[in-house]
Amino acid sequence: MQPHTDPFSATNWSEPEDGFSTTFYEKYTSQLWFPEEIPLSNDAIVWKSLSDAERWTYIHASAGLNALDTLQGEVGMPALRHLVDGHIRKATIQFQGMMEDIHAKSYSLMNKTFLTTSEEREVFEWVRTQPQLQNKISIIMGIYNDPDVSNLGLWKKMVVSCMLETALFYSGFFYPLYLAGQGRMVSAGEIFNLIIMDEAVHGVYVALLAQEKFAEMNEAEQAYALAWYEDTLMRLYRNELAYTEMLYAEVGLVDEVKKFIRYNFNVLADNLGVERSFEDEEINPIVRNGIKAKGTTHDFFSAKGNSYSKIAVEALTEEDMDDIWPEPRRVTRKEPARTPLLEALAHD
Amino acid sequence: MERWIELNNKVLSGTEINTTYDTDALQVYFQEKVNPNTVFFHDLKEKIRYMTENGVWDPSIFERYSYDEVQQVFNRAYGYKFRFKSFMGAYKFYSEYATMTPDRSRWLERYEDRMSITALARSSNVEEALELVHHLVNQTFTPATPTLMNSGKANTGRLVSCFLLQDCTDNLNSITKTLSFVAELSKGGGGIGVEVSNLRARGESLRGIQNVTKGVMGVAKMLDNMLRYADQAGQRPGAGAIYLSVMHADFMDVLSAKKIASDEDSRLKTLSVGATIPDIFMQKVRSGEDIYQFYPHSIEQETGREFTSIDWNSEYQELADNPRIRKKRVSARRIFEDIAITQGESGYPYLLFEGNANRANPIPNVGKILMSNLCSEILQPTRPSYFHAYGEEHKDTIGLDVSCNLSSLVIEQTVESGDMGRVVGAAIRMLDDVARSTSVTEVPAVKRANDEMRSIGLGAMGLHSFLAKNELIYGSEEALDFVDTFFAAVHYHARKASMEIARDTGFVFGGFEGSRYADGSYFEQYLVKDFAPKTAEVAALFEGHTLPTKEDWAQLVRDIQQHGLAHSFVMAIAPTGSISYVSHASASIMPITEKVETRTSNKARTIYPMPHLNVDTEWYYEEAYDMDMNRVLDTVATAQRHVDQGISCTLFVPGTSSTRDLQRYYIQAYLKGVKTLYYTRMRKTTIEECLTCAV
Repeated sequence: MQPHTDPFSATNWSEPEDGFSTTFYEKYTSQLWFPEEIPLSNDAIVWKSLSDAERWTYIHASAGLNALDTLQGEVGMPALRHLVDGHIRKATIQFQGMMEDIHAKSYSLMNKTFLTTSEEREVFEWVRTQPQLQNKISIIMGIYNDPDVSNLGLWKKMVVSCMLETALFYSGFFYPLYLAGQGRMVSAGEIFNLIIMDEAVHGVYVALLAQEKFAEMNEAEQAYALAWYEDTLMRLYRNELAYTEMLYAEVGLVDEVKKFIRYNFNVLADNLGVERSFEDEEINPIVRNGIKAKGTTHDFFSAKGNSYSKIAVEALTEEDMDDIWPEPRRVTRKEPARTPLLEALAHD
Repeated sequence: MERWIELNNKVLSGTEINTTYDTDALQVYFQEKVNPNTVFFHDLKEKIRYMTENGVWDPSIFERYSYDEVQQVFNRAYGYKFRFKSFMGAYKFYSEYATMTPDRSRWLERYEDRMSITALARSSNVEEALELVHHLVNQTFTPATPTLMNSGKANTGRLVSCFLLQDCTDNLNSITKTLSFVAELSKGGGGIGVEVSNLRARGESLRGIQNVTKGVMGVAKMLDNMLRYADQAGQRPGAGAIYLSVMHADFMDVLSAKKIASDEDSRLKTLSVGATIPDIFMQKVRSGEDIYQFYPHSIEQETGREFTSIDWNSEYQELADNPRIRKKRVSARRIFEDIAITQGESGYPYLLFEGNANRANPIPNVGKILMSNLCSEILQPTRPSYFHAYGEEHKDTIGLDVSCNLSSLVIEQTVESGDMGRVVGAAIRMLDDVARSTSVTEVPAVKRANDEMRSIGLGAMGLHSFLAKNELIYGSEEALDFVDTFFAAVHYHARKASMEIARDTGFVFGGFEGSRYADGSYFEQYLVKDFAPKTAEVAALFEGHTLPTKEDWAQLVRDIQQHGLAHSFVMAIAPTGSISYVSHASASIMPITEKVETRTSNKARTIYPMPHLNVDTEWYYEEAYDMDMNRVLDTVATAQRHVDQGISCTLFVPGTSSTRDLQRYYIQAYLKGVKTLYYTRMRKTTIEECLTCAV
């Protein structure tokens, strides 16, 4: 953090720091909501009619989102708020952070409404041990906690925040949208809609800040930044595919969700003003209606299916040899000296 | 989605391993699936009548027992009130072993029925049957899958499923005979190892015409296709492995056939490949020198010798120096690296260190160990057969092949029984029965070997789960101390039982005279020192046991010299698959790969938390991929000192490993005296499991 050399000033909302932050702030306040406003218990009967697999996916998708929103509220937003310049920007980001916490609370409220105490505990334990989820969190957390606060460093932090809000949340959003689109779990679906509306705006706002940072970098930095972006995105994307497979296998929606993820990564690219990583493809119509947008393409990741992988070739060195096989061993079998017992036996 | 699967799947959800879900799944599975779908019989009489009249059970089994005796065996089985300890164990058993109605809608056998009928089928009198059923139900040892699945059935498959053939000698009649043997064994679900090093290489001469032979690959492709063609009525494709010497001119061709980049025509799709590696090759790797690979037909023309009869340690230089023998010069390290690359990419080849295997060969008088099986734990001398055209069969020479009669001790139950002699003795007697009951007439050299050598292989499983339960670290000093003590004792009791069978029945395996058993030299290590626990922790585990001493061994050696042995080999540690789930044990003596294993079958995803997994034991369940493989190699090398055949030893390495890491492990394995290396598994790489041999 830059030490404050100037005297501390007050926020002057009449003198905007840029052309958009105030608008976003106002949008946020206008969208403010609390989960208690939504009659979740209306869904209780529908909940019981879902199959075990449907319930599992639903609740674990939500639990994963809970963790990610908690991450954003607790780590991501404070980090960005700390590093961006300008009172209004800081205020806007702080509001975002508060909403993340409200989102997290609403997921928790769903658990409380639909699950027994032991089931609830199970779900929270699941979050702590689900490898892809934890991996996703640790990748992003690593970048938030990276001490690099140069333009590039800050840009990275903004980008991962956008990755979460514009793309990575969506593997979890898919299912509630999908069910709500069929008239099931409608109240909970409403909560999800509210969250999605929030996240959409959050993603756009932080992406705008990121574009500024990107413009301030020199060519070499930009090239590096883009390479990093592609690399990080692919890491998270692969992780997300595995997460999706785990989350959606039982309800048979893996492929649909994967398309949806790619679709949202493309939205992210548009927001950040960088090249799209995936080709357009048709996403599930029910879900598309839930978020209103469009696109077409084919499966990017359908790599040749086989069990082989390439191994890195690295030569064995003389040092290796000296280390594990100090001197060439004589392999001719030396006749073991006979023990007295054996001698005795031989003469029996 | 079925409720028990759902419940079982929930096991994965907590940090503190909550096996309650698994227990719930188990209970629901019985309540909602097994119990309501089991055919009900009023009493045992009705059950036996139904089962024999409907062609399920073999009626001849009941001829050697009175009804009362049969009743005693069943009563004993049911009397133990056996309960499966995991959902996976019950699920495996009831979906794979218990006999069902032909439409597979209802069960005809419960666990106790399968164990009772197996005990009756594998025994010759009621005392033996009562003893055997005790071990089977309580799982002190578990027979290999085909024995457990097929015992006592009328329309039965074979009791063994693992074969080694050295019939593929260098002429068309032998090659086609081998193909027909492979087809015959494959259709019954066998896993088959075939030695092919005697085949002439690609580009050798045929009837004097130069450069025409198609080499080992030609035969390998036919075997590959034959195994897929002669499957088990479409249920499971056949499985086979070829063993080829690294000294053979075609070695690189065959290795390349397992690489990723190979085009479809030269790929071996399902055939496994094993590399036989003589000491001379390892020495050249050490020194960084080149080595010659030889053309077998050229060797034969020049010396009149078969390729597999060459002793590379003493004859290599002479062959290398002979200008009339065709050969090619290659860098030994380059080949070694190619082996590692291919292993990294495909899991193959298996490695057989010929020197290590033959230095420990107890019957060199019978022959040299040249090959192994599909799971690389069977190591016995084989002798080639020679076949002739139709009408000239009288000229055929029948060599010695192998059929693997296997069973595995469950280490935990064996130790906890307090009487290893009793457990091992019963296991050896059961295996002896399996060997006597097996007669593979379709493959004469298998039949001959089984009749004359009667080799068996008692292994063990559940090492890691036993260590974890007792809070010992896999591969630690204490763990190795345990392995050393345990397998020394198993060896003693196994050999003793084999001697007793010879003494009581008068049957001594062919080749005993002149063997290292007969002169006692094979047992020398036991005569110089006691294999008693060195650490207090391990001593505590064996409390109450009477472990064999030097004096016991000396007496045993004398008894062996007097009475002989009934079996050419008694031990081999197989990579256990299904039966380790049923027996609630970790697989073989390998470390676990996952604390909670996820198994996906065509119907359900099942979750298997390792036995005794809880907050206390979790720490001792290090996953194989996170371990230094030297801990595995040390474990295997320690056990190997007491195992007359081999140990299926898998290397588990992280996905970031390079060929250098693998090569270091190969060399370390070789130097530690490990005889074979099975697959190398890299994390996140799926490799076809050895299904057929997995016991």
